[in-house]
Amino acid sequence: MSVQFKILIGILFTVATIVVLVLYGINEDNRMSQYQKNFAGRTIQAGAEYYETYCATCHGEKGEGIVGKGPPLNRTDLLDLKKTPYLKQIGWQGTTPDFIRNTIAAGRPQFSSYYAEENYQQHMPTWSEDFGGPLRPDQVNALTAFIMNWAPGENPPLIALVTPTVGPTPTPIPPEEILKAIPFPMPPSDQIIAEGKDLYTKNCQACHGENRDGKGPGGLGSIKPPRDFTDCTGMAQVSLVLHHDVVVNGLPATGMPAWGKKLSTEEVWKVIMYEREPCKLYTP
Amino acid sequence: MGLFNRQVKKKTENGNGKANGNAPNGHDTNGHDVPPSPETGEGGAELFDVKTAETMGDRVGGALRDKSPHAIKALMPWIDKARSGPEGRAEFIDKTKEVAWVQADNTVRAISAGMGIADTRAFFRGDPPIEKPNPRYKVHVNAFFAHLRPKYYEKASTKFSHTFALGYLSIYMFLLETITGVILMVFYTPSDRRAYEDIVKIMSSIPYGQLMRDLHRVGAELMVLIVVLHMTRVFLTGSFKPPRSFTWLTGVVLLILTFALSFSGYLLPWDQLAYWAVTIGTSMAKSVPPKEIVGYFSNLIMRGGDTINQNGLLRFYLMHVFALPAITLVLISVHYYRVARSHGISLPAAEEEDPDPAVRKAAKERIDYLPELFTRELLWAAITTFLVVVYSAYVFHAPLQEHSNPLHTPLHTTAPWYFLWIQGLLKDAFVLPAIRALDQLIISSVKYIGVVMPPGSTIIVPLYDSPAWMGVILPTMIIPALFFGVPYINEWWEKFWGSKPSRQLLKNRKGTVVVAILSTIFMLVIWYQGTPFYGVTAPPAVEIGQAFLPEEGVLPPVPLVPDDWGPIRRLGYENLPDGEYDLAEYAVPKTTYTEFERILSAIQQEIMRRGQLWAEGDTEHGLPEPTGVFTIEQWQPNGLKRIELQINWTKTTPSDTGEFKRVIYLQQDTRYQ
Repeated sequence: MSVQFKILIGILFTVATIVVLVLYGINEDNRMSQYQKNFAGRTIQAGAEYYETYCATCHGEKGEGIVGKGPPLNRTDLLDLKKTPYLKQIGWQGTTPDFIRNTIAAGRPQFSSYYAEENYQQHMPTWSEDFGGPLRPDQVNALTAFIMNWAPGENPPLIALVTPTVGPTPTPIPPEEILKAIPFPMPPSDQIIAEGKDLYTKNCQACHGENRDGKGPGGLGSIKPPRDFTDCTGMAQVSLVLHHDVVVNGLPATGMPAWGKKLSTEEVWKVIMYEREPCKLYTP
Repeated sequence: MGLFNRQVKKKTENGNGKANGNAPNGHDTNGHDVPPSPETGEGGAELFDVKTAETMGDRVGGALRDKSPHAIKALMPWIDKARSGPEGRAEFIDKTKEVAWVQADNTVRAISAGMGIADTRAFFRGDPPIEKPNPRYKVHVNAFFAHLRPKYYEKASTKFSHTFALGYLSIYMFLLETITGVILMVFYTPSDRRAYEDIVKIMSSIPYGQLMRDLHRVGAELMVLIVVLHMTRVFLTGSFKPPRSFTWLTGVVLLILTFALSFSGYLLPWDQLAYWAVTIGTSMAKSVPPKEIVGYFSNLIMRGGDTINQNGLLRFYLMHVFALPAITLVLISVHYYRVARSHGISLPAAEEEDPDPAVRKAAKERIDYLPELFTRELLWAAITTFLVVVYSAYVFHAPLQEHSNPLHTPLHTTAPWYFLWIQGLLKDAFVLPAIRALDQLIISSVKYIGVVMPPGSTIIVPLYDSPAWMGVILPTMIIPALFFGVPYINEWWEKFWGSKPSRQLLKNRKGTVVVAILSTIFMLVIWYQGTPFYGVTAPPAVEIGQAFLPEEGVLPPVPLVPDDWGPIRRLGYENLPDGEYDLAEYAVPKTTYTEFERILSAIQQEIMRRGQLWAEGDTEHGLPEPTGVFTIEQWQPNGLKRIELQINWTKTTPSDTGEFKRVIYLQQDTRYQ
């Protein structure tokens, strides 16, 4: 190859490179905005995964909120960037994403004033590692992006948010009927108590504790701590009928679920017997 | 007097105003001729009010004459001649051309560091040099960058099929990486809180940012490839034999430095891929024996802590941008100095050792570096730049997975492709089974002398520290020692067999061919063992999930191929219809199927294959009577879908859950290539 040929081909390739760079550059603005959208999407996806793990137990799988646990997060009165009625109401001067991000990061020292009528008895925990929580800053940002992605969408129907989950008030059943429904002879045998223990371990232990003393981890933060079944003076005030009522219908304001929906009558009574076993309170 | 060195004139008797000391012979202190100054009259002492018989025009002319460049001064007599008539004018024009040519020639000589106009012309035409001695050699003496290169090469050593320009390309890649690296450095902060964000910013907000990052990545992978190929070429052409042994040594060090540079840069994006690949790599340092001292401290020094965190990132960053490039530059200089000045590029052995002296002489014929080889190198640079830019712009994009999560190791994490061989060694498919077999042999043979050992006992196996041997001693001590020792082992081998040192591969170095083939096979085998295809199985349902909905983008075990996020993500948000799909209905693919339905069918076929494996008795890879359900649900009205693959099978043990769920979310704007 002669020198001139090499010089010529070299110039051709150099020009070709410059042409490629120019063509690439013409599309660059478009590519960058595509990438930004792409990455915003990936952030929302990551936020959805973290939400499932960390937030859904209190705020609901789809952000609809859970009675007694956490307010809804998918409603336009919180998220609407134009109106932000709730934020205006509390006098927040910043942006909605900042509000959400700071709430997640630092938590709240008091109970929620959003849907305050629900009397949430647990306050928002601290999540960011900057304030002692478990999440990294990028995870907090991803969660914020995910929650903001519910805006502006239509308000989904409130799922039994204000009213208790039991539906219309049932006609009260006289106590004798309730006591007649106990499916085993009283006082309960050891077999009944053992079966009650099985059910207690699966359903109640998380809040009421392994030793039935109300010190389970799930009950921390409640303004009314879970019932301590070993406290016999207190338990003496709780009749069988009252005990049955609380177990079946729950106490929405404290987070005590309505177990009547999940357990059968027989199972409910077995658990009650196990719970009353420390103080041996088997009379009505 | 000159125009610019006026003095305030005192009212003196002769008033010629020359208060500065003039040399007595009529020259002023600058050595220029000073025309005799005319008588001045009485006059003011103002700077510009000089009484002299000269007109302003004369004074300006005089100053121009004094201070004019030599060329114009040389022309002065001809300027006067030109006034005298047409022949004088013609002479003046000729003389001007001559003087102008000399000036231009001098300028060109200054720019080209030694070559005049005629020689520069010869340079570009590819003609032999005109002046004697060869002015092209002057360039090599006068100019810094040219002095680094040899003045001439021996003809046969410049053949493309001999070296494939691999050494040149290695340095070119180093230069490419330095330039793109410095550009990227402007936008990157080595903080664990900012690094990932900065990479995203480079890709999304900085014009040509993605191109710079992709170029840097492509350059890095190519550099490792090219350096390995260069080493292979040098090995096969025997260009490590004396006097080139020390050059080979520096070359092996450069190979290790190239790996180190690539590995240290791998961590910097701080995504899952980077974090876990480097965690694996540095955890091998923990096994350096003695573990409690050397292993413990080398791990601490590399990582800056027990696990990789902010300290580790900063250390890797400093290594990558400063320490390693500085050492590499010094070693490249040593390596290249020896090649360019000491022993030169080797000639093809067949020509160098040809019995015919005419062939040998023709091989050693000298070719000047300037211009043939210089233009050739520039051409290689232009072609390589073009190819690399096109590849980075349109084909290959550097991967970016999710933000690094120290609490979650992605499935099938691997080291970067050039370290897969170490990962394969760690799986220890040869030595550990051999030692186990040896143990069994010993246990069964001591029975004959009456020593009965309880079942399950081991003798040698506990003494054999597999990670230390396979992860540290073999890859960082024994194999590098072999590489370093190539020239010396070769010398000893030649002495042992009494063979004449020769570089002809197929004729005189058949042992080398055998070694090359065997070591290539060995490397390929352990490289394959390092991939996730060998020796690592997750539970079968997890494998199905990983095949179709991988946790992160799966990097192929070869360089320069883009990563794959699975068929569902590639299909895209728009092509995934909501619904709950019982996979059993998709067992037999129909021709009318959409792309999505074809994927469902593929999943079902994989599920059925596993069921079949179980029925045949393979309990490790099979599932008992598996069924699958694929659900797509609109999760947020603003374009977020939840995609779930659930696989159920019959429980066989109490601890078996019988269920596997893999969930991903897909947003409408995300695109996976």
